[in-house]
Amino acid sequence: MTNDDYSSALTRRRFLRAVLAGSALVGAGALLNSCGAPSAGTSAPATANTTPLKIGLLVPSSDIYAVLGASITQGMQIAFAQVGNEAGGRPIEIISEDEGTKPDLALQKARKLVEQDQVALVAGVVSSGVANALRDYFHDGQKLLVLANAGANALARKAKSPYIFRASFSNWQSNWQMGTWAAANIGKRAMLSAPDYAAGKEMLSAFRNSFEAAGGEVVQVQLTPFPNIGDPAPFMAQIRDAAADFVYAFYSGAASVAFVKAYSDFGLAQTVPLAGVGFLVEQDVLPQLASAALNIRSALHWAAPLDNPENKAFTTAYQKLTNQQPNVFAVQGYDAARLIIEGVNAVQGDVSQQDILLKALGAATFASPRGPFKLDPNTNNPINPCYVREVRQAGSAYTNVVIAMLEAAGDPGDDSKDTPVA
Amino acid sequence: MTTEHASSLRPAAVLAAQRGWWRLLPLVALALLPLVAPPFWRSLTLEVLALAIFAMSLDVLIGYTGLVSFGHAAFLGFGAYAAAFTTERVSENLLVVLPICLASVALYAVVVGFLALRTSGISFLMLTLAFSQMLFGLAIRWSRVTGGSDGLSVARPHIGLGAWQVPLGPDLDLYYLVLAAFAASWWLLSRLVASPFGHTLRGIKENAQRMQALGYRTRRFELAAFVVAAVFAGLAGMLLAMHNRYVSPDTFAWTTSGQGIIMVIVGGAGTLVGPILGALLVHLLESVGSSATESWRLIMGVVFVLFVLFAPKGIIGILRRLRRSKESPRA
Repeated sequence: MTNDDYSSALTRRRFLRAVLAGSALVGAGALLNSCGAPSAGTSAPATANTTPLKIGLLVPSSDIYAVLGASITQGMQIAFAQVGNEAGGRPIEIISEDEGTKPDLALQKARKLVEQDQVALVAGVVSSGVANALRDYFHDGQKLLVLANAGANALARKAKSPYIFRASFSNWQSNWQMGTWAAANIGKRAMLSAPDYAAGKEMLSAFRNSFEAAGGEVVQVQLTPFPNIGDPAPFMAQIRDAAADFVYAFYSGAASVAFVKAYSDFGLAQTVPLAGVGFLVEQDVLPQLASAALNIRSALHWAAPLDNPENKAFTTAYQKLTNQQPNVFAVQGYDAARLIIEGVNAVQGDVSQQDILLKALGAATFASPRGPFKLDPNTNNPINPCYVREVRQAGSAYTNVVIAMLEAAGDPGDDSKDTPVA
Repeated sequence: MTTEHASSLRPAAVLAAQRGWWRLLPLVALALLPLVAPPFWRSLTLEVLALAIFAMSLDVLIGYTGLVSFGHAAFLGFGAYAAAFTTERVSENLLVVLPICLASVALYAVVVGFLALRTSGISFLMLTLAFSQMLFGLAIRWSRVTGGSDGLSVARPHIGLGAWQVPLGPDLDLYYLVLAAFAASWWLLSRLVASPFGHTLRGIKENAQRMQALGYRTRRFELAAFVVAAVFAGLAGMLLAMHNRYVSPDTFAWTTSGQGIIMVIVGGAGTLVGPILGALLVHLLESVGSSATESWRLIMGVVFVLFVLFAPKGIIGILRRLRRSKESPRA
């Protein structure tokens, strides 16, 4: 018995069998794969221009960001359907992978898309953490990445890359314009509130910098647990005690529902106006917030009732596809796909002409539901319009009515205008 | 059993020749793998090898010492962040980065182990979990240093010794580095558990009081095992960080610790080889399985439950049972 125990780890035979079994498994995988690769190669005819153009779609299909992932995917579907699922003369083939929430795993999925599926480019990415994890892989490997959400400022600043394009926003945008506007139109003494993570801090910092420059004063910065706020009562008490003119907040998704509802339930909505960056009351959470969201003013690069032909067409198409109102994430997905189509058209489907493709992507302009879409050549980040919206009731539904349009701005491209203060 | 006993009495030269030759086979297979497998499978294998080091190190605690740690990801993450800090602030030379990483992990493990090993059983489990959650919180909130939820990027190091400089540029070099680290870890850990020290650990697992009565200061042995396990987990973390060129607080998440335990249990605790196979199975399920279906977590759960119910000794237990049933006619 003891002898068996002592030798259990080390016997040659056991080790051999186990490891052989293991390496056989790995080998079998490799073999399967190497069998798959040539067949894919032989099926490609000499006329390369009509083979499917593979696009890797990396968005969350599980966990807390699944709704955002679905919205982005649907927005892309609409854009691709508008061009008959063809770009540069090649049919578009989408290969989807789950972004999940873990950066390591998402990076592995991106590797799979690039190395195994050999996609021409990867699009999507909701989480900034994931986008940061992908950055070096795409930059060093000179592979193309089109972001449809992830707003980390760094991706337009010290981590910017000629191979990474962003069709969404940087966390700085909207917040910066809103700081100036709020100082003039809402109040001079603000309390700030956001979840305690990178995006929350970047958004509050951008607001605070321009707000203070415009003569505003921040009385308190409240950072709440991320990703779940937990019991909001102590934070509401803190807000009540701060006696600010208004509260400026960034929350998104489930956290936004928890925060805004508590804000209304604690009776704060009547005494201290709530404002924020648009995700706080975006269309994905507005039906759940309902009357709790009334009169909240927020800034974003898009609003549901925007009166332009592209937005109307997009809204109709989106409703037809999903029976739901579009949200800003769907718009970002749509614009990401539009950007890709422009780029691929410019090289007539020959994505191996990367220099021309990169130039075309950077120079692409088109009419988007958010207004004119244009990238800043310095950052590959869009120069976004900024709409101040106010939640109003329209019949039984609630919507973000545009009450002001602020100057369009791209990300400053470095941290000099943007000291971290939250 | 008797044949094993007899084999240990054979001349050392024969033994060494036989053992050495056989043992190299899977390593040779792994060394040749990049030549035939496409890059994606190479990087997948690299991840499996690094996670196998992590699982083996946890096995030293769970399988050999009887300490069920639910916070082993703390050391994986610590090694990863140490790699990020060292490559950014001190040097990108692997010969500098490696000792700094491992020494800092060991130092941290001494502190954690000293406190956590005052307890045992469920309290030990909760304490190790608490320490790893503490690092998780620190990594998210101390964003000025750790990059917060955005994480940090990690430079890929080179190997430099005076004028002799070898860049670890393409993925292939890193694959062989990880393979070498895996081989070295397996060899060292298997020597360790077969040594008198390893036997003492097993004695502690079976009956700590008796070991104390025999005059062993069991907590010192436990602490030593804890630090050794942490150092190898830190090594795995460092390698993974260099592979991904990125670390995020997610490395510290309790789910990473949980997956480590699953690797050990499914592979077969107390066997070292088992956790290697466990790492292979769990990682393939997570990476390949999640591409195939969104319900891969359900599959992983079912696999885990099936193993716990029907094969509590894991994959190795099944292999052993198969061998025994094959050999029984002869006996």
